[in-house]
Amino acid sequence: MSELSVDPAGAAGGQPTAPATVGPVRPPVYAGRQGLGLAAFAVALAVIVVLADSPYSQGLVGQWATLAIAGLGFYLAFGVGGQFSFCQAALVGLGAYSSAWLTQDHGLPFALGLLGAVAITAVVAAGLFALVKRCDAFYFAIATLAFGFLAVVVFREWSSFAGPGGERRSLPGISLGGDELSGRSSAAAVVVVLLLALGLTLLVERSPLNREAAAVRHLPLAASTFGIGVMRIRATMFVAGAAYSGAAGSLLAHRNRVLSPEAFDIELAIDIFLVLLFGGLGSAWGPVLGAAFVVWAPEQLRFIGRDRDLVFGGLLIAIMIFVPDGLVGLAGRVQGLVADRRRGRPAEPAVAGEA
Amino acid sequence: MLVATDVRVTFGGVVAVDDLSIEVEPGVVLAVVGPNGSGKTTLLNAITGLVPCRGRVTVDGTVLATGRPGRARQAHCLRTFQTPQVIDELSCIDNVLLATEDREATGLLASWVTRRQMLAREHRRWAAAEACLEQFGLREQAVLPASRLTYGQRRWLELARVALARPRYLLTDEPSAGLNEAETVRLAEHIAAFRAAGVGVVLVDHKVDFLRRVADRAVVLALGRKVAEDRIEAIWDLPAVQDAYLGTRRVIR
Repeated sequence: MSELSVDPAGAAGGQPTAPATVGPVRPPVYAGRQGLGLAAFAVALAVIVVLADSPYSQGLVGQWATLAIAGLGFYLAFGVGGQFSFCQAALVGLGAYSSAWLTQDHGLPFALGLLGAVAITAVVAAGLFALVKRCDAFYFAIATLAFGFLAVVVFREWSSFAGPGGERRSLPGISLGGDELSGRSSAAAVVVVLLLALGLTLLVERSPLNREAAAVRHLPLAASTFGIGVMRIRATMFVAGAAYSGAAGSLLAHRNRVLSPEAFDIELAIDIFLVLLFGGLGSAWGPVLGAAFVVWAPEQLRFIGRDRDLVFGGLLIAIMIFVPDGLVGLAGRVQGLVADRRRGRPAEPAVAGEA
Repeated sequence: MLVATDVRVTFGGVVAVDDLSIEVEPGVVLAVVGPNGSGKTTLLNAITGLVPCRGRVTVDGTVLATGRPGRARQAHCLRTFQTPQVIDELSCIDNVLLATEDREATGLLASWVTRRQMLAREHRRWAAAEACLEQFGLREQAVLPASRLTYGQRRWLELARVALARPRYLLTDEPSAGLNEAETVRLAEHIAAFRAAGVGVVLVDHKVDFLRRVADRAVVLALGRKVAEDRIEAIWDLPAVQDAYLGTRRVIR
């Protein structure tokens, strides 16, 4: 929610008295023009895919889009659902192995592998949630972290599902109607899935579920006295987030065409966390921007050589200190500043989450 | 009638509410008073299912499952809290909408698949919430984030949310806390309006004048027990009440 969208009186240039609008008040989450934003984003994506002419840049685009989808999953589970699930990486892995298992071992086409991965991941996540739902915030994180470790062991040991030692090679690539897609088209396919995932997330933001989830996040006890099904909402967001991870995993498997269990350990979990940290929790656009940063920044720091991790770490700390609400928060603050200036009001400090 | 019988709440070895019974008829305001730590808030929590308790709660003859806040809500028992439970990042209208009765089409599928029906429902819900905001003088703030409200306005926002839920019983915990004189007068009017609409109100509060203005009866608690119950005018003169607040009278030799 930007300053612009929350104050119709100010936007109309008048005093902040009774809004001039007659008729029902529309909650601000429904007010923005997200459809327009999404269309602009689609155009930008098309340009990016057209400009990406080398396998290297196509690889980066694919990596970014995949990480953004996983980040959107984490955003649903944590940013919306309010539960810090540390198993998103393992769920990406589950999606990847499920999709590999369905396509390589059972000969299903890529599209069904993708859908199957989403379904399997969602079902497993539902089961996991039933086990850990009573855990409070910190214990929930630990329990899901433990699930993550276990999942990597299972990938390594369960050879009839994940391949010998969890190693799978020469997986089928991303295909459409039987034709395997080339580098650019396959990057485009991943980007289309990202667009879909982002669109669905924006729809969640513009729905009653969004406000009920906010209540569950901030005031779970009070929310239950309002009649909100706290557990139902937590479960919904956790499972939806897992489904996104499953989709990301499937895309990852068929882009890389090789899988090994180490790819889904704590390092990926932290990457997904960084996506949200950089992007911000305020909006679904956060993970999309954050993933771009997480993929792009280390590439730009390549020239530094051995000390790259050190510089990246420093950058991370700087961002946490100076932009605690992420890139989306920064954008919201700038927007709020501009709106206040236009209204001739002194700028107010942005409230975290308001952006 | 809201009837709580032999309600008992223990925290570890501490008995916070000790076999307490209260009754509230529709359209009656029952004040619950007592010194700090006498179990007033815990009693409200027990009746609305926020803490597990022993005993029996019935609402208009139907037994309410204890320890289940959702059940209390279904029976139209609403409560407000000592600190207004308002979500800063949501707009005022969203805060009110949280307590809507109409929970059709609020899930994930509604937001993705049956969006048209969801929006139709939402429009009706918005209109109802707007009417409640109007009632509490917050119509102009409807789309502002709740973080912009003053403390008093946060109280009204909480009451507007309760109003949307069409309460049969309202359990309200120190609603006058933090309000100035004028706001307290206004609060009394709001409570009276609920009362006039046939809502049974359980009112925990400390302000004597305010209670005298709005309450019909009063129950006095001390250390989790009921020590007195009487008409509000008579309650402060009872020796048991003075003892509860000021300590037992005893001549020191």
